[in-house]
Formats: sequence, structure tokens, C-alpha cells
Amino acid sequence: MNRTIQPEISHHYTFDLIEPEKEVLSNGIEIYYIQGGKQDVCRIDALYKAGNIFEHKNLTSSSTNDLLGEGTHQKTSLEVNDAFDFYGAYIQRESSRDYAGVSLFASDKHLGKLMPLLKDVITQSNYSQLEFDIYLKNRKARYEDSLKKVEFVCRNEFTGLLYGDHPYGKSLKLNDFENITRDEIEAWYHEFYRTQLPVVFVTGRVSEDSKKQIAENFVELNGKNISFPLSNFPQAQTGSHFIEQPGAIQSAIRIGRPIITIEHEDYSALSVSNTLLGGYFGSRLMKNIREEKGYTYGIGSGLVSFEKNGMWMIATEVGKDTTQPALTEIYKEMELLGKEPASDAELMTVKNYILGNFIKSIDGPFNQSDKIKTIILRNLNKEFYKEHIEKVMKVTSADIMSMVNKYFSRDLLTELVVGGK
Amino acid sequence: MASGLCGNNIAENFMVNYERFVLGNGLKVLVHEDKTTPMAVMNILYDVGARDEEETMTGFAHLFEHLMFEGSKNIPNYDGPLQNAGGSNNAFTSNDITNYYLTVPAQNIETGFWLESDRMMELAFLQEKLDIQKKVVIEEFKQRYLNQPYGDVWLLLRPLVYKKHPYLWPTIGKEIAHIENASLEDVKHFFFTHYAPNNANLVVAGNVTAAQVKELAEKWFGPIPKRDIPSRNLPVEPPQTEERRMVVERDVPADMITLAFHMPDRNHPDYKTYDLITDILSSGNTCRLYQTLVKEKQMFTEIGAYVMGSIDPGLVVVSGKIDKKFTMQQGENAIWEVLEEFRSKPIPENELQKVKNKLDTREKFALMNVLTIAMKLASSELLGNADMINTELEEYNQVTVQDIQRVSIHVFRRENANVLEYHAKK
Repeated sequence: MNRTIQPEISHHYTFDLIEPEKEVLSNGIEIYYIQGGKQDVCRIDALYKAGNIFEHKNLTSSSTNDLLGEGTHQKTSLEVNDAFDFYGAYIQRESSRDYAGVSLFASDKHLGKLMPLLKDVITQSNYSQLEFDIYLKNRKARYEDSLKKVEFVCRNEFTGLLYGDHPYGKSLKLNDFENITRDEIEAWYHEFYRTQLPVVFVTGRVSEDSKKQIAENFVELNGKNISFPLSNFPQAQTGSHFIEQPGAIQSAIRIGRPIITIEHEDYSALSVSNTLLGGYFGSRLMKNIREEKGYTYGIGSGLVSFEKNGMWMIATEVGKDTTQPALTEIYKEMELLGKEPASDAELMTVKNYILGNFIKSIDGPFNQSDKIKTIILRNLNKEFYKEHIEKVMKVTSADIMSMVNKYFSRDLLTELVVGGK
Repeated sequence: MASGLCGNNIAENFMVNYERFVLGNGLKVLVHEDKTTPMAVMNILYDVGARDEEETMTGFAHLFEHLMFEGSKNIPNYDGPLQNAGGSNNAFTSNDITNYYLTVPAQNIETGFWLESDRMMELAFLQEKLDIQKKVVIEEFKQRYLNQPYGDVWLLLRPLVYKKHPYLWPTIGKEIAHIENASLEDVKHFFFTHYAPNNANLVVAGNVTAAQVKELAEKWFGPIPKRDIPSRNLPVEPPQTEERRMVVERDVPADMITLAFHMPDRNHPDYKTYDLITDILSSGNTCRLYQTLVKEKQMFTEIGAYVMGSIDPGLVVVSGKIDKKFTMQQGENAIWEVLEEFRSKPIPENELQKVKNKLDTREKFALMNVLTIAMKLASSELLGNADMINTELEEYNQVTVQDIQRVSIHVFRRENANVLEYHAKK
């Protein structure tokens, strides 16, 4: 047996996304069922276009969403939560740039009892002054903690630099906590949850009976569908920026820019370029900054697609003394990628990695639901991911050089260092 | 509410199927077949952790974990071939174990056998790689422990709680100097003392068959020689007889108080009772600590409780950040009042039942992931019985409110408490 030779590998995969079953209720709510799974449990997501892109004041969107069901017109917060606990169920509240909403995790057999509770959380929240005050006080304390972390400060301020007063340009400030009131939260709740219909995704194994329960409860909601605001391409503050953090022994670095989204024709080639540069453990940046120089515990880059704009960034934390050399090496790697074609072997590895990782990311209904949500919420064609992967497999090293020169050219980038240098 | 509580119907619970066999060299192999996934996962658990380190060379097991990715005898680069096979991987080190895992499309699982068996056989042992990984680990030390508010809590607490047992240092090491001093000789010695087929278990799960795994295990791991593994003989932690307290001041925004109590080992019959006590104290928004101290008294901005889950006798930890309007002393007293309620009378039945119900749901979500199954099989096997993956929930269900009170009386005593007062600099 020759241990120096890798066993034969194959990249023959079949991948099919589950076709979600769509039900449209008489009030206009769309429910998508992504059925399957080994256990009789499910996750129900009710998503609203209520992310912070719509905000006029920081904290409005997330506070409203975090306090959903923390007290309703009939029950105290403790009674609401106890009722979920009673059935071993739990809810999670999540908000982001575009969407906000609530997810219920439960056994199928209890949905008959849990659905009316979930409906109350969505429609009967009362936003008491006491719950609001406690929430805001504790969130402010967590924010004050975060201000001691270079990574957080860098992430928070970086978005401001990239997007400015564009709707995606939210960076949280200490005085935001003084400026927000309970009345504003309640008004937001009425505007975005009581007069808007959610999109609903049900993932897992649910019985026909449960489906009836789900429909019966969601059909009682009233509202309309709303659209995302139109926005211009943001004007980033490019160039180098620095925030000194006294006492820090490491610096947090972010380099990036606003960028195209997943729908753009360049997206597949751009995503291969990103992966090659910093998107996996074998990336150029990881190899250079961590595996050759030992400047950092980790470095990575990524592409994010929001509804109306995208973001690309490199992020790392490095020792204060090696901040400058790390920056030099990062730019060197980007330049090299635009100047010299990547070898066939490296390109093959990246593609195989992306492909294998994709297969992993659609393993089972719970993983698939993320992809299906993207297709439905962004109104993409059903074959989107299949076509994307096919395009990925065709990307050449010339394509990569052209993407790097087009999108990662240094004059387009914003750099922020928080810590010392 | 108590009469209408939903109890669990154990018969409904999904059983994790698995096969187990042992190779001639002592490597224990477990296989979980799941035809519904296109993936396969491989988990290798080595029975070595920070507790096996010399007191003058702490952080070594973890540094060593990094070196396991820096080339083996016949394969100069671990990650490249795996990525080429469409796979990804990671590892972690704890005070008890070092655990490596990879995920790969099932048809390429043999690459996993090839990579993992070669590094179990022998590493490349290169000075240059050691020098770089020392730097990487030192940056990790800074990033996770030194450059974070409250990041040094466990560096302070461990030596307060443990006086003899090697749990007195954290996995990352006592100090950066220990990592700086590691030599290539130390690395070689550590490898041949702890890395061996007879000191590990291998779990393969996903779209594979037991017969296929048996054949591949024999082929790739079978030829690795058994090694002499010194038996573990760790100092036993003497019982604590009086309260211990440490007071520090740091540049952080709020005071934080941590109480750590000694508890029994992972295989002790009361372990699950301890685990449920911390769930009742701190799981979700209806739990005791949150309701009393965050909502009613508004004395804490956040608070939690958990068991350490270590193999040797471990800890129950209660820790929270105090609202600026209150003092450290007020915060501590309020925690003791909550703990006292567990001692003075049995808690209501429904409070126990609801944490059991929640555990059941969480477990069902967790066991849908083959990697979670593989890791659970591996840790259960290490504890002496892989079948615990199927029997554990029932054991949790057996715990009674009387057990909760009995254990609380025993553990929540002043002379069993280690208190860390972490003051915000004024």
C-alpha cells in the first residue's frame, strides 16, 4: 500500500432541492412547506419585511422584534414563555437588515396547542413600559461590553464607512439607547407586524392535521404585502481609517466594499475569486497570514447579499505589532491574484471544495430551507443554485484575474483598523 | 398546571443505530448508517487533553492539535487533498480530550481514512511548522483570553477552584511562555505517548455501510502498531473545606460575579441531576435566575448557570453581570437566596417537567445532524458505553424533585463555594 497516493475521488453528485409545497391562504399569506427529516419536529418561520433598512432610528427594528410576545394583551411575558415551555417548544426572534421575524421550534404533535400561542405572539404583543425598560437597559449593558472588543468596534464602524447614510449604513452609538422610546416601538409594531402579512416557511415533518392548524391560525392575520425601499448604490468612504483602542493587544482589521448581489451575472466568478482569496482554510490569505507568517489565529473573506446591495469584506485580528506587515501582505495577495493566473491545481481544489460544501449545505430539509428561502424571498428561478454551481465549475483563471481587477482594485476599497498599529 | 403536563413518551424516541468493533491494534470503531444523507463524517477522538500535561508545559495538547494539520509522514499537506475531495474539517481540544472531525461527500470517505490513519501513524515533525503554529496559538491566546472584556475569568478561576487536579489550568495554557518554550522533542514525545490506535476511537457516520467501514478501517488503520500508553494517574482534588474568594479589578464596564461549586464526575449517577438543576436555574426566559434577578429585582443585566461536563469531578457555575445600581455584595446575596430555595424545599413538579420536555425537543433537533451523532457516539464510547446515546434521555426523565433538593443541599454550601469578584475599574 502506498500511503503517499490519495485514494480515488469522484465528483459525481446529484443535487436536487426539495420542491417546496406552496399554500396560499385566503388572506394572501403564502406558506411554504419544506417536508422531510428523521424526527417528528418542525420549525415554523414567520418573516416580515421589517429589518433595520426601514428604520429612521437605530434599535427600532431589533427592539420591536426581540420584544415580540414578551407580554400580550392577555398574558404576561412569563405566562407566554411558560406556555411554550410546557410543550417543550421554544421560539427564537431574529432580525437583520431586510427581514425580522419569529421562529417556533416544536414537536409536530403539539402544534395544535402551540399555533394559537404563536399567533398571539405575532398579533397581541402589548409592549409594556416595564418590559421595554428592562430590555433596553440590559441591551445597553451588552453594548458597553462590546465596545471593549476590537472586533465589534471594527464591524460596527465599518458598516458606517461603507454605507454612510444609505439604509444599510447602520452603526450603533451609545446615545441611540437614550433616544428610543416605547411609543416608537409600539408604532413600529403596528406598522410592520399588524398591517403586513408575513411569509411563512414550515420545515420538518408535519402531519396533515398540523398543516390545518397552521393555516387556520395564519388565516386570521390581516394586512398587505409591502416592498423594500429603492436605494442608490452607496458612496463608501474609501481609503485607510484607524480607530485607536487604548490597551488593545490585538488590532481588528476589515477591508471591503459595497458590491453586486447574488443575481448579478458576475456573481459566480466573483464568489470563486473570493473563496480562492480568503473563503476557505486553504485560501491565499489563510496560507500566507496564518500558515506562513503566524500573524493571526484566523483570517477570512466573504460576500453577503442583502436585498438591495451586497457587501464584500476581509476580516481578521492580528497582534498589534504585526498589524502593518499583515496589511502589506493582504494587499500583496490581492494584487498577485489580479496579476498572475492561478494554477489549474489550485483552481480545481477551490471548485471541488465549493462543490462538496454545496452538497453539505443542502443535506436534509433544515439545511435546504435556507437555500429555498433565498430562492423564494429574492424571487430567483428554481434552478438558480444548479446554474450557479454549473457556472462555478466553468470559471477560468483568466475570469478570476478579471474579477479581481474589476472588483477588488485597491482604490475601491475601505480599510479600517481598530486597536493599534 | 401540574396535572396536565405533557410527559415524554420514550417509546416514540428515535433510536440511533450503530455497529461497534475493535481492530487488532485496539482502535475502537463505531459506524452509524444513514442512507438519507449524501455526506459522510469521520470523528477521531484521542483520549488526551490538557489534564495530561505537565504543570510546566501547559497548553501543549492544544498546540499539538494545531501541529496535526501541518503534515504527516507520507502526506505533506492535510487540508489540500481533503478540500479536493470536497471535504472540510476541524478539531478541538478540551481539558479531557482532543477531537478531530471531517465531513466529505460519502463517495470520497476513503480520503478521510487515508489522511487520518497517516497522521495517527506518524507526523512530519518539522521545526519550521512548530515555530509558526506557536505564533498562531499565541495570537489565539490573545484573541480569546487577553483582548476580550472578562476574557481572563477562567485563567483566574481554575487555580482558585482546583489546588491539585490538573483542571487547574485552561486548555490554552497557564501562560504564553509555556507555549513559547515548547520544543520539537516535546512534540515527538507527546505524540508517541498519547497518539495511538489503542488510545482513540473512530466513528464514521452517514451514507456508508458497516461492512465498507470495517474494510477501510482494517486497510488504513489496521497496520498502525499499538503503542505503550502510560496509565493515567492524576492527583485527586482534595475536598474543599472552606469558602474561597478572589477579588480582581479590570477595565470592564460592569461588575461580574462568578460562583463555582465542586460537583462529581461525568459518570456519577447524580450527574444528570446537576445538569437539570442548571437548566432550571438558567434555561430560557422562564428560568429561576432570569425571572428573579433580571426581571423582578432587576439586579443583573445577564445571568447564567451551567455544569462544566468534565470527565473528572467538575463544577457547577453560576455567573452574572450586575446592574450598576447594585453592589457586588447585593448581587452575590441575591444569587444565594435563589440557591437557598432549591435547598429548603422541593421545587414544583412542573418546573422540572418543563426542562425535561425542552431537553427532549432540543435532542430531536440535534440528532438530525450526523456529525452531532458521531460526536455523541465518540464521547459516550470514551465514557465507557456508546449506548448512552440512546439511554441518556430516559435517565434524565428518572430525576425527581427530591433528587434536585438532595443534590442542592449537598452542592450549594458556602464551604463548597469559590467566588470570583470581578470588579469594574471605577
